[in-house]
Amino acid sequence: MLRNITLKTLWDRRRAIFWWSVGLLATAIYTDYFYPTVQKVSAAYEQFLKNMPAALMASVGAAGGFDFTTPAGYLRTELYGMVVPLLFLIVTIGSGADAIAGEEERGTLDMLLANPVPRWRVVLEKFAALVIEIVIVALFFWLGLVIGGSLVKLALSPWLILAGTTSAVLLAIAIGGLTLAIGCGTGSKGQAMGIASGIAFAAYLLESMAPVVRALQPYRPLSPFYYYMAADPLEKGLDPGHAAVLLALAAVFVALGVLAFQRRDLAV
Amino acid sequence: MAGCAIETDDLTKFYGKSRGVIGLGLQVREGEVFGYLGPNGAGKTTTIRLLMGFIRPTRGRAMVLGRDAQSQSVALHRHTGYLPGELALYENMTGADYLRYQASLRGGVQWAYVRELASRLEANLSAPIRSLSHGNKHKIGLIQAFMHKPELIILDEPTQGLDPLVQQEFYRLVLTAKGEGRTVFLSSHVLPEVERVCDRVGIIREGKLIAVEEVSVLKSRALRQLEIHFATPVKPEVFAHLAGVRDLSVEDDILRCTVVGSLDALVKAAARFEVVNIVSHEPSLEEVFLAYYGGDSRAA
Repeated sequence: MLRNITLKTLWDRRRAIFWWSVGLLATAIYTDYFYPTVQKVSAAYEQFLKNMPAALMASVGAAGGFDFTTPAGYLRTELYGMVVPLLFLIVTIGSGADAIAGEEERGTLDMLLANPVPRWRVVLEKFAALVIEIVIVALFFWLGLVIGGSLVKLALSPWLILAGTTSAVLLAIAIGGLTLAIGCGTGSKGQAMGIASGIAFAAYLLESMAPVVRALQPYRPLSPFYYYMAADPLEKGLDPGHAAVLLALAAVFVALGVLAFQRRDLAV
Repeated sequence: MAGCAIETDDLTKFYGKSRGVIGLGLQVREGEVFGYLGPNGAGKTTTIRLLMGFIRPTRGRAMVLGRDAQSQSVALHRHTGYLPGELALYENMTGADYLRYQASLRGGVQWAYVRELASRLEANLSAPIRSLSHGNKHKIGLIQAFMHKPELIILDEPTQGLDPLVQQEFYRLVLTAKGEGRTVFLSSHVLPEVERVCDRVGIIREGKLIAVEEVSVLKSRALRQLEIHFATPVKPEVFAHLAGVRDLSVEDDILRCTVVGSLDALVKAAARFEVVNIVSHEPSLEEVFLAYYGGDSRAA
């Protein structure tokens, strides 16, 4: 049954994967369910929000103001602006930190590497498990949005929802790769989670504040979050260039992780 | 003549401010059982992790089965069995699932042989590992080290936590491996254990290899503290000049002394009186080191 490291890692995470899937499916349906109500009061609500400070709006991922009138605007405001990347990142940062550093801290890495298995293969198989995990969880989230959307007649193509979700998955994979790499270099789960979360938060702030703070504008392409939503995948579909940047980031992070891990002393 | 299963040259590892190992020149012959003896913290585990390629030497190198332990560790692991001193297994698996997983990563393991090892060691493979005692977890680690019949078996403190009967079975496993021409390198801080199964012993202290001896030589210099309780008071003179007897003191009916090598002369002298009890203390490693290698005046 557990023929390789990827399957074993997924097996270890099976409960987490199950509950994340259930939770995100429910979140998606639940959010869709409020769409008709919010749409009815949206004029008044938007008026109310106009009086909010721009920086506050930006910090919750809504620098352009809330747009409840279109289905895509509603989903972006309620979910994709902040909630989706946050939840997806929690999944991949957790798995990325556990991949190498977690096994090392628990002391099980010794017996794993006593096998004729190169270190780089362990890193790649762990990363594959991380990718599969977030894809499964994200598919349930997408399914929830599609089901919920059909119940309340939220008119957005499942393909566009898939494009937005895929963009979030790619972002989560890139940050998960970063977390994995820090774990490969340090052997510390806490450091991996802490540093990666800090970087992710700084990147989020950069992208969300840039519309308000003129000086930040030129630096937007430095933030992975820019490649996640700036091309508006919920309305225009997945931008291949932006998706490729996120994939390339993940590849670079994992490669750096392999290099660091390959040359490092393992902790007892 | 057999070649070397392990050969290190000036193998050195420094850790920050704490000591690692310094200038090790170890040679372990193919097909022998080599004991690596030293007190806790002497550098045994560091040496073993260098041999496994888990840590990189500060200088020097280790050749294991003719391969560089650092750059060719993957090929090396194919032919090596390993048991770490601080064993950690996947607690959420059963022993059988755990060993199947490790076996499938390794490849070429005969499951029938795993079953045989499990029954010899009386290992429980069906319970979740988290529910097993320390000794029973250790058995699963031992099975993992032996299951692919490796050319070289490297064991860090292998008998920790095993009950005496299982220890005997473990010794038989080691001797079987030796009988099949395989090499065993085991570390220990217990002298009798090493004497029991090893052909040669390397003694490490404070990160330095201070001696390599044939076990037969070590045995001939074995150092024991004895206490003999007699039924009636005895005179010290009777025992004073016996071969191998040192540090003699007699208090009424109790004789205390240290014996180097054979006990024969002392036992025969004591047999002339009524002996109530004989208490023997195995020397601690520190005492052995001090006696033989510390330049102590009592050295044989």
